[in-house]
Amino acid sequence: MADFSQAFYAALSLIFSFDENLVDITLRSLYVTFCAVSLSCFIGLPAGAFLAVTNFKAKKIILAIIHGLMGLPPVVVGLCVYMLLSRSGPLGIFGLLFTPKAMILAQVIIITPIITTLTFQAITPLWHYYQDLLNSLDMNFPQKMKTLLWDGKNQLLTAALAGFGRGIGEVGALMIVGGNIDQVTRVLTTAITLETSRGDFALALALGFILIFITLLFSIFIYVFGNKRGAALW
Amino acid sequence: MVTSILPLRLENVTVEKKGIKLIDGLNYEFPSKGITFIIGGNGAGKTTLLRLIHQLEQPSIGKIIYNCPMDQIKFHSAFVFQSPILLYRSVYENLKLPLKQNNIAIGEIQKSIEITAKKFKIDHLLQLQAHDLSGGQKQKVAIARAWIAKPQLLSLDEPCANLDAKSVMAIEKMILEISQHIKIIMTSHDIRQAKRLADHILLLDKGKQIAAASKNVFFRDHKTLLAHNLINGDIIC
Ligand SMILES: Nc1ncnc2c1ncn2[C@@H]1O[C@H](COP(=O)(O)OP(=O)(O)OP(=O)(O)O)[C@@H](O)[C@H]1O
Ligand SMILES: [Mg+2]
Repeated sequence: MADFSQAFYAALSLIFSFDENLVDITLRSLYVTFCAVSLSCFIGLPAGAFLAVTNFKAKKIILAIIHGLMGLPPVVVGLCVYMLLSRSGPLGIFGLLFTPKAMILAQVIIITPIITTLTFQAITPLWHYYQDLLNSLDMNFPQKMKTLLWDGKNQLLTAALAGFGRGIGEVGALMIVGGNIDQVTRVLTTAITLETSRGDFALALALGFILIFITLLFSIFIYVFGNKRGAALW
Repeated sequence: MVTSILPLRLENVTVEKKGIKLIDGLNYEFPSKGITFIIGGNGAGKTTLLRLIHQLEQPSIGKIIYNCPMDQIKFHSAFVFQSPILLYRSVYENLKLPLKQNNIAIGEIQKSIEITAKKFKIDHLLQLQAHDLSGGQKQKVAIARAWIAKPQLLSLDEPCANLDAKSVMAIEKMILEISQHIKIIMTSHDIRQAKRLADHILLLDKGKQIAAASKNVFFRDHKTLLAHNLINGDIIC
């Protein structure tokens, strides 16, 4: 028990002294996930909206596959990306393995299906409601997509935040493709794993607090935006 | 020289879905001016007919002949749906939608919105979220938005359903005024409303044309039993 409270206080003092190592890891975590979420939005928002608006034969199958990809075990994603990027792999020449770029790629694979699915779920009812209006105004396809994405922006922000929450807490894939290299690819989750196994509970706990703080913050954002539609953001 | 979308002619227009004829062999020419009422009970095919005219649906058989080229139809017409479809934006943004769609200059847009909002007495609502409005206010915004781009043809699908007497009066006044400049096709199952507003009446039942005439003729010699019952019973049920 003494150990625990000691670690607890040491963790707090690390946080409030803005320990350099801690700040470095936190910023890298935010950076990697932010890049991954941005890329995933770039793919997932139009893809989800496209699926909501169009009707074609393979649509159900595609939706089922994307839904399935949401449940992909991150470790396996890590393994695949590792094989892809390793020196003998198809993308080996780029030398991306054990860099933040590799971690971003792994996270994009994990997050994109989530954002695509949530976008699809947000845009579908909006499209059903708007459909006749937009068609009667003779909007072309890009104009319809733009209108829908704009008017669904609160729910789409929620989707992005959910992706962020998923990404920032991810550990398995990042460990494999990033290698948890100090000052290069070490992020909150991989650092917690390492410090725990090393027995440095103070640092592990401090990292944990930060991770919880970030995740909570995002959950609150999701809660706030999730129930809104269309109205001004704040 | 802008070509007019009207007159508008239905030639043997039929819509069949799942083996049922929702619209059954309609032949009718919509006059170029005034208010044409499409009346009929629930499920008579009124909404379906309006959707056909606005190319939201295609006839299974027959055709609709417009006076203008096909690609200009949507540009020249506007549709107010049975339950208003408003964007999840402010009233101002809703009014802006058709103007932007028609590539109206930004300077013109604001002026146009202000004039329209005054005309329809919704200027105090401009900054509110459209979905926070009451039913009657929503209906007014939907009509204003349809009117704002100055279409040649405006269709209103039961614009007064679910409105209280005062709102009905306000909207009817609005419709009469608009009809001075724009052709209006509206649906209703309220024969008294047709009496107040219509210039021409097209009576439908189960997708079939029962009667079609100018208002005076329609109310003078109601040939069919349905038309007779309708007029004496006042309201179709
Ligand atoms: N997609 C569809 N598939 C099958 N039946 C349909 C479809 N759309 C409409 N119908 C049927 O067509 C008929 C006419 O519908 P429509 O909406 O045109 O009636 P309406 O005259 O507008 O009625 P109301 O006064 O209730 O609005 C109804 O019986 C309806 O159930
Ligand atoms: Mg109807």
